[in-house]
This record gives sequence, C-alpha cells and structure tokens, in this order.
Amino acid sequence: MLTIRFLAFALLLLVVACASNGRNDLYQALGGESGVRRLVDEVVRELHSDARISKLFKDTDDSYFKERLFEQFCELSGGGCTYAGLSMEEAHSGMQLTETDFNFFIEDTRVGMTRAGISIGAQNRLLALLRPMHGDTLHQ
Amino acid sequence: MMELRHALLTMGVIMALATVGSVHAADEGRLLATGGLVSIEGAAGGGIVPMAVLAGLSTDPGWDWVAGASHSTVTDFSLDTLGVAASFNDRFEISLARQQLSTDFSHDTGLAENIRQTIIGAKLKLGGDLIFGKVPLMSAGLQWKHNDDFALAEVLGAEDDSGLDAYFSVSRLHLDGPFHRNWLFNGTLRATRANETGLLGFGGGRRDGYQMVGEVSTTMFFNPEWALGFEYRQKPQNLDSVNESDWRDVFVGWFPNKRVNLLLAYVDLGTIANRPDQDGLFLSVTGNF
Repeated sequence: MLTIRFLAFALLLLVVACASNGRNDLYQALGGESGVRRLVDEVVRELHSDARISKLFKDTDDSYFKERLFEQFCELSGGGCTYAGLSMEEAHSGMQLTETDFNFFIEDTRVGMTRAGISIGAQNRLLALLRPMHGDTLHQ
Repeated sequence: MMELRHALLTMGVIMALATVGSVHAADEGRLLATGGLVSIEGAAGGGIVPMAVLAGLSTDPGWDWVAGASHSTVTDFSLDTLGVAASFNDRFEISLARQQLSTDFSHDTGLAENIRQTIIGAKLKLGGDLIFGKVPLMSAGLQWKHNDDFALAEVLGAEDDSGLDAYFSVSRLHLDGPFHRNWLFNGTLRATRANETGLLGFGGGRRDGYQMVGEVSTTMFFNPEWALGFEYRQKPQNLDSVNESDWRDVFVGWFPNKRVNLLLAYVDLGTIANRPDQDGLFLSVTGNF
C-alpha cells in the first residue's frame, strides 16, 4: 500500500516537473527579453575579442547580427519570437566554416552566457538547441 | 611510499611541461575534455577504460601529443602507469604505456616484488561524432602487451607473457541530459586473454582462449571544468589458482584548461592474486602538448 502511494506521489512529481518544463521556461531562465539581449551583447563582444575567430566577424553589421541572434535565441528558448534572417545554410554560405570555428563559437557563447549570469543548466539547454545547426553551418 | 613520491613528481613534471610549452602550438580546436585522459593502458580514455575519442585537442593537421601518469594505492598493492599517446589528424592514435605493480610478494614467494608491463596501442576512428550528427563516435583499437616480469604469473599458471587485446568503443556526449547537465557515455567491447590486464600474464588453466568483456563509463559534467562519474571494467577469469574481479571506480574529473586534466577516483579492484578487498585511491594526470 505504501509502495503504491509512493509511486503515485512520484508520478505526480513527474507530471508537475514536466508541466513546469513548459515552452517559455528556458526563455525565463535566460532572463526574458532583457536577459537574452544582454547575453547576445556579451556573446558578440566575446566573439570580437577572441583572436581565434574575430576575423570572421570583422565585417559584420553588429546591430543586424545581434538582432538576428536575439530572435534566434528567443525563438529557440520559447520566447515567442520568429527568426527573420537567412537560413543557416544561406547565412554561412561561402564561409567554409570548420569544426574548429564552430567549437570556438560554442566556447565564446559559453563565456558570454556566464558573463551574463546565466546558470549552467540554462546554458546547457540553449547549447543543446543549437546542436542541430552544426550540420547547416559547417563547410557551406 | 617511494612510488607515490615518484608518481607525484612525474605528474608535476607533466603538468608543468604542458602548462609552459606546447610542442607545435596546437590550435586546441576541440572542446574542453573531449580528448579524454591517458588511461592506464595508454589509450585516450578515462582512468581504467579506453574511450572512442582520440588523444589531444588539436584540429590542426598533423600529430598531437599527450602524456599521462597515474598512481593507485589499494590495500596490498600499488600501480603506477606512465603513458604517451599521439593522434594524427584526429583520425588515428598510437600510444605507449609502462605499468608497474608493486607487491609484497617477495616475502612469501621469493619472486620479484615489482611486475612491469609494456603496452603498445593503436586506435582508429571509424566514424560518427562525439557530439553532433546522428551517429555516436566509434573507434576500434589494438593493445599489444608484454609482461616484463613473468615469473609470478607463470607460478600462478599463466600461459603467455604477452598478448593482444582488440576493442571497439562507442562514445557520445549528450548535451542537456538529466539535471540539465552534459553527460558523456562510453562503452567498450574488448576481446582479451589478459589476467589482471596482463599484469598476471595471459591465458591460464581455467580458460586459455579469447573472451569478450564489456567496459563502460558515465560522466556527468557539473560545468565544463568539473565532472563526476563511474567506470566499470569486466575481466576474464583464466587462472586456475587465483580469482579475478571486475574493476570499478567513482571519480571526480577536473579540467581547469585545455592543457592539464586531472582525475581522482576511489577504485575497487576486488580480489587480486587471492588478496581480497583491494580498494583505495587512484590519481591520474594528463598533459596536452
């Protein structure tokens, strides 16, 4: 009897946990609109100061780039935005990005997120959502 | 105690050299911790098991070098290992390891106190990817082992002083796993005739042929620098006279930067040469050059 009650309680916890794992829950964990804008600012700043890949961004229109990054992170994290930029293939076409470039971007994104005060858990969730873009950005 | 001092000195030298200088200023283009450590048999892996990843963190064309040392002290023994591994274009890895098991057997057997073993390894990346794509990273490897102090193993009934292990490994880093942490899963299938990884020779009266054993490890990264995990290594049972146990450990890994990696484990090696309850601490240090 005790076991059944325990199982029912565990099931309830699981349901509650899943429910709270709602669509915009990550967006909130990133700090909502101001949080995501801040993290985009920090990430772009880090990309420019990283000598290993800053050359890839030297001709970038920062305000356009930041707006697209914001839309993308907002959409991915369930903030209700719609990414209005080019597809990942188009955006990186002709750049011939390598595995190394992608990894450095990931590292800089982590540094930027940490500087923006994002928790490790939320960082991992956002990075996991960026994972499918790996194939679309490389070697285009 | 002498061995521990020696081991700590070796580890210090590896860390210092890795921190100070890089042989060819590698680009370190792979993500932190994705080159693994130098495992006790020399191959890139964890503490006591190999992984599908290849040694080093460079994506530059050419060779990438790492060196590692480990020391473990369990109830009646201590094991020191020193290994060097190099990967070529992140496709192919070669490794060389030296192991020394220190025992107190000389008192009751008159045999050598220390058993040394040399291991030459090769690993080939077959395909897949550690993080991206649908297919996990897969590699296959060989380890040729030679026991340099075979006398004790021979007394215990081992057939050969050298042997060849063949293994197949699969590794995958799962992003955003349980607790919103990144998890590294690793599985290896090994064909072997080795007794106590070869330290007690190869083959025996109970069983002499090749046997398949499984080795697994799971690591949870609290953050990019700190990890917690366990390893489990199945072992064959070839010798008539002594029992052999599976090996296991729980560990904390520290990856302060791309040059130096550390692993501290509590290991449980079970019964070795009929001495039961061999458990203790294991420390491993790897330097990327």
